[in-house]
Amino acid sequence: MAQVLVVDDSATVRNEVSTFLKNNGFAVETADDGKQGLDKLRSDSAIKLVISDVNMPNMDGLTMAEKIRSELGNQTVNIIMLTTESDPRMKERGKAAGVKGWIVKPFKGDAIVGAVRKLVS
Amino acid sequence: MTDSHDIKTKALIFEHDGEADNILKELCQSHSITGLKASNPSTFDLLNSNTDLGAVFVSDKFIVEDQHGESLVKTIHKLRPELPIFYRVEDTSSVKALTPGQNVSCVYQLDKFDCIEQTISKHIFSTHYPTPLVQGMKEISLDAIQSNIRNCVIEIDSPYLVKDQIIYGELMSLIPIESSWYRGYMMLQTTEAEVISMIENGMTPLNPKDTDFRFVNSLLNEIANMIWGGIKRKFADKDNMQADDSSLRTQVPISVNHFHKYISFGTTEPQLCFHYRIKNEFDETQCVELYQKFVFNLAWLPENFQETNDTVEEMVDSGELELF
Repeated sequence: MAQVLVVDDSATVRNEVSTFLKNNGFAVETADDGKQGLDKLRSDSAIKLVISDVNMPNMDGLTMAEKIRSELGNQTVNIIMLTTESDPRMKERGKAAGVKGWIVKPFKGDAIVGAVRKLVS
Repeated sequence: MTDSHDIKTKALIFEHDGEADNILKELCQSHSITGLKASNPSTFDLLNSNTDLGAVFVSDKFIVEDQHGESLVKTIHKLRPELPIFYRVEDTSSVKALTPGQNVSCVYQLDKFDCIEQTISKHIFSTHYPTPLVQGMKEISLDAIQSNIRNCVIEIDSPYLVKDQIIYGELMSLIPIESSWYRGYMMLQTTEAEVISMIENGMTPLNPKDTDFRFVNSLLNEIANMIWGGIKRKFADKDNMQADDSSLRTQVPISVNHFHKYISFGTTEPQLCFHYRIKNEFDETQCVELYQKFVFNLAWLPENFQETNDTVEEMVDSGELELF
């Protein structure tokens, strides 16, 4: 069972995304911000995919993505941004940090599940 | 003066004279004002309990708790200094202490009310809001609400302007909104018990047991976040927005007085408001009232308004995965 880490400062979004994924057979971990997300990745090597918000307190999602690649040296975990942001400059920064996909809120549960299936298969 | 006839405002009317009443009624209708007649003259609670007001009309013979005339006007002004007061007198020569610009915005007589129209333009409908912007704000907000509240129908009043700075309800989410042509805040206000009830009834993405106030806050914040995200995508002029623009660093303090349920953004300009009534779609019972206010206190340059989704490359499909 692939493990997915959902990083969002909104409990509403964490709960909604987690429910979609759990109902479709995925194991889910959650974190409230980028800093907590990095800590979870450090301690849990089973995580195969990260779904993260961009704007979060303490550490934003793009900085977390950059640190996953640079500080943790983890080049294999897939990262999807789930955000209200659609600024091309942010997307470029995400691409440079190895982000694989970008979903703009409000999101559809099917899109999340489909994206996760595609990236972990 | 706004060019959108859909935008309204509310005025509290203290008037004793039937003829004046009829004239005010016509005047209100022709100027997008909803008149709220003060039928119980025994208390000032009417002023304190009526949020979302744009103005007060008062006649010199109307009596509230033994006060009338200039004394009454001064008390109203003291209670709600942000509201423009339209003061009707039968004889202007009797008006000594009150001059426009002090306690009242306009002193008028039934046969001479030019100053009413000027004052409405100057103090209430003083800001131009492009109609596509107002419409877009409403549609984006409805999408965001429906993404976070399931199985609901939403009724929405015409957008309206308020001069008062009263906080509605118990719960407020505040988010800065800014582009190269507007800077300010958006507020969402509601009451906690109503939101908890929706969570318990499974109408939100939250677990029905997650009724702690922090989850309630989270729900309101997520709606605010999605609305701002949508507005930014549709209306922010991104190319012209410079992160190091010194104007973007300008801030003013915001004061909140919980005792008086009052919030000030440092501006006396009217706030653009929307009022949503969210109902359960199955039985149409009302679940939540949501008040949304836009305050452009730091910059407002509607002449630079443009929708950014008119070019194909900038269109964004919410909810769709874009693979890199």
